Amino acid sequence: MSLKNALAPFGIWARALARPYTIPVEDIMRAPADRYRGWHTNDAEACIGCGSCSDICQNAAIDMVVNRDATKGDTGLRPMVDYGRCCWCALCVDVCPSGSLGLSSEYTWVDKDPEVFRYVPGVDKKPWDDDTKGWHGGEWDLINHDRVPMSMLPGETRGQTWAEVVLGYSEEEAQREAARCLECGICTAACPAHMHIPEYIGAIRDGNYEQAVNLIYETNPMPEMCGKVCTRRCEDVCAHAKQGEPVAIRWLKRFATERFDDLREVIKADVAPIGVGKRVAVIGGGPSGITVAYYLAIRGFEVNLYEALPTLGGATFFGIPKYRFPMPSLEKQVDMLRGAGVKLHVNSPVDAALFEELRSTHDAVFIGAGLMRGKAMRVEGEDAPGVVNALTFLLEHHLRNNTDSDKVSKEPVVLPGMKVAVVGGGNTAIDAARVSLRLGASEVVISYRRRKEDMPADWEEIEDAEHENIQIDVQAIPLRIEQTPDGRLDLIWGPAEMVADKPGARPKPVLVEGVENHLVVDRIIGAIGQGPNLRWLSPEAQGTIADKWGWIKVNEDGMTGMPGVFAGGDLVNETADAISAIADGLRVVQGIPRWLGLQ
Amino acid sequence: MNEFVQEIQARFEVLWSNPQRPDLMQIGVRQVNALPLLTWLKSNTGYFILNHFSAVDWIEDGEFQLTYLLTDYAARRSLMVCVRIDRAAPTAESVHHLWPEAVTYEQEMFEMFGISFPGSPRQGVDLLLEGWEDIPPMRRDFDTAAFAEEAFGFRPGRTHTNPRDRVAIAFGQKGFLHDH
Ligand SMILES: Cc1cc2nc3c(=O)[nH]c(=O)nc-3n(C[C@H](O)[C@H](O)[C@H](O)COP(=O)(O)OP(=O)(O)OC[C@H]3O[C@@H](n4cnc5c(N)ncnc54)[C@H](O)[C@@H]3O)c2cc1C
Ligand code: SF4
Ligand code: SF4
Repeated sequence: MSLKNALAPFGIWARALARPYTIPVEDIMRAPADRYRGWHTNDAEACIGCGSCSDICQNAAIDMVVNRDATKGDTGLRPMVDYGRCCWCALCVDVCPSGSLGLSSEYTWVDKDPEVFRYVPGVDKKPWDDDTKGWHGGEWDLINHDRVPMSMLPGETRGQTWAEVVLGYSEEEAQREAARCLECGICTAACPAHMHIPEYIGAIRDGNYEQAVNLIYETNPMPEMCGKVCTRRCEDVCAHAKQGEPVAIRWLKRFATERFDDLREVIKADVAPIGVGKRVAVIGGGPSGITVAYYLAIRGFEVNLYEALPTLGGATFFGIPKYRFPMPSLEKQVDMLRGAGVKLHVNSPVDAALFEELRSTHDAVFIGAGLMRGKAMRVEGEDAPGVVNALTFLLEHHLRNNTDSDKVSKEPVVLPGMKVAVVGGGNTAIDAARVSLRLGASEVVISYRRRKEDMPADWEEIEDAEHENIQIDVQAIPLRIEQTPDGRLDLIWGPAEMVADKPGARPKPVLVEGVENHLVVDRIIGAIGQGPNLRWLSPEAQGTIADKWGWIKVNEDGMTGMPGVFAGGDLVNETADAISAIADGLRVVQGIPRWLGLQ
Repeated sequence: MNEFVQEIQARFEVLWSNPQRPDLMQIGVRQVNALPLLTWLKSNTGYFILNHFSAVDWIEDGEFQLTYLLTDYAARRSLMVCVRIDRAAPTAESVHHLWPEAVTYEQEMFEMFGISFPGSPRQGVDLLLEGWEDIPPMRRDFDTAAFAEEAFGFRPGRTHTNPRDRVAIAFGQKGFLHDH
């Protein structure tokens, strides 16, 4: 030890009573500039755990850590910042799609424990959590909030043609839209089939279209259908939807599948032939039946598919109009079934006797018979001539126009020049209205009990209908139908008042008594919902697999109360859309081999 | 501003000009003309203050760009003089005799880009990078992420969960075209 060091303690004591050299921090502390970038803040309830902040950080200062359960729309992760690496550049703030992340203006914090400088903003409470100064983004963003617009046929003229309304992206547009994807994967939770969305979007962005369609086929045997008409729950939860427009996931899937005229050579399955020697019968050629048939056939099962109609597709054939989902798109996907070796039996309705035969000649039976019964409006006068159910109307229209079926009259219900009223607010109502328009109706009115924002139909479909000059009357409760002396129909309706219901539920329409309005038309189409029809089964079979209304209950493998009989699709789930039917089919693709002890 | 560019053009070849803002003009000149132009600007025009002096690595073109930002405080406007030099032999004439403050900029560019300004007093004296052995870090072929990875460890206990994986596991994402 040097002499200087040995004496140092005395030097210190010598100054014990003198004024300190150090200056208390409060004396010199100045308020930082308004936009000073200090410690992070995060609104943990608004954050969706997308991890974009972590991805962009050039210093690898952010880890995504588990904070809560993953839900549809939230990965449950939250960013944890390591201030040993942060340089306060705020890239993380400027990229945050939810706008939850910010930097407070607070920058002083002294502690002896280095570990405290690693925390989860917004979760680990800090004094600066509510600081509105600092940098909270919003003045510019590093992400593009606007989707690449889709070209469509103009609304004024397209009502006179059956041509497809949506024209699709060009390659350049698709790649530009695909590049907006943040790759967080939040969408995959909301998709009933949990498709590999960021992966196939990434492949589209990179121009690897074969890879994209193969990724899509991992979970979806009708992607061109979904690419055109899916209810796209994925887009509702897209991280971009928080402050801008969600990535056009549906249109990108459409783009990828439309690149190929024939997918049979492109899709490369690689699965063990576990089903060789086993037979499965599928009843119903809708999305659920197609899913079960395709994925079991590529696993070596002998699959017999029975469809009552001349064409496969189910409601996507007989319900969804061709200007949304054209026949060639459907046929392309049916070709995949043929390519996989599925034996297709069309014009083959299954009855009670055939059902029993199928049970005894096959190792498992799948029922995907859909909802084939249109619900009645239950108003007086409903049986007057000229009043039709939307399901029957659309089914007959599609059989007449798209098959050589001799089971329908040559003349459509709606004729040129007629005025048509459609009662209902779902996709079926919109489809019936737009088909009426294309059949030449001079005027089409949709009459709905609740408000426009309560309509179950896709908002884009509603907009499309409005662009075609279809009128939407809301808060209109049908009371009765009368025939006018000149042979027309008078839809008599009363106005509805919206009354708050249970919290979380939609407000209820309540009739304002004593007011009657008249809508005089030539045709009334009832589109107020569909229900199951299992009357083709024996009463015993119905009793074993379904409740008294015909809804089928299944276990986690998709099996009904009758051993070896599986079910899925609209008959089983409550969502009644194509992708949920596909998801049900996927459950059975795992359930049948498990039941047969094949895995 | 454009008239001023013409005035310069009358004396020195201007390769391109870009009126970036009403109060900011950019021009490009050849390296041989750089020092004469800067000397002329300092002695004969309002642009006698060297506000900033730095470099850009145009690695694709095999060139560095020297950027001199001169400001005319009376007229409240600036002129950016851009000069491309060979990236393989990056040497330029010093301007420290015109602006003593250029010494620090030139010292910094030597350290950060490896551009040398012969005759400038503090060439090769460490500014920030004591004991630096790697290639100059502002060159674009310097791998910042790899350097950070090597030089700075991660605090123990750090774990990261990929959001996509978390969702896939939580919701049981599967594939049916391949056996997984
Ligand atoms: C007008 C309309 C528009 C729609 N629009 C959309 C949309 O835009 N987006 C969307 O995602 N979904 C839409 N849907 C819903 C979607 O089409 C269905 O959810 C989906 O098709 C259900 O599939 P599924 O497999 O359960 O049965 P379905 O598609 O209903 O198919 C059932 C099939 O089984 C056949 N079948 C029934 N009984 C028998 C029997 N005994 N023997 C042999 N075959 C039998 C039927 O003929 C039918 O082909 C729409 C539905 C309708 C009606
Ligand atoms: S970018 Fe924003 S929303 Fe996404 S995890 Fe980070 S803080 Fe949360
Ligand atoms: S401010 Fe910059 S360095 Fe700090 S965590 Fe955010 S992105 Fe990373």
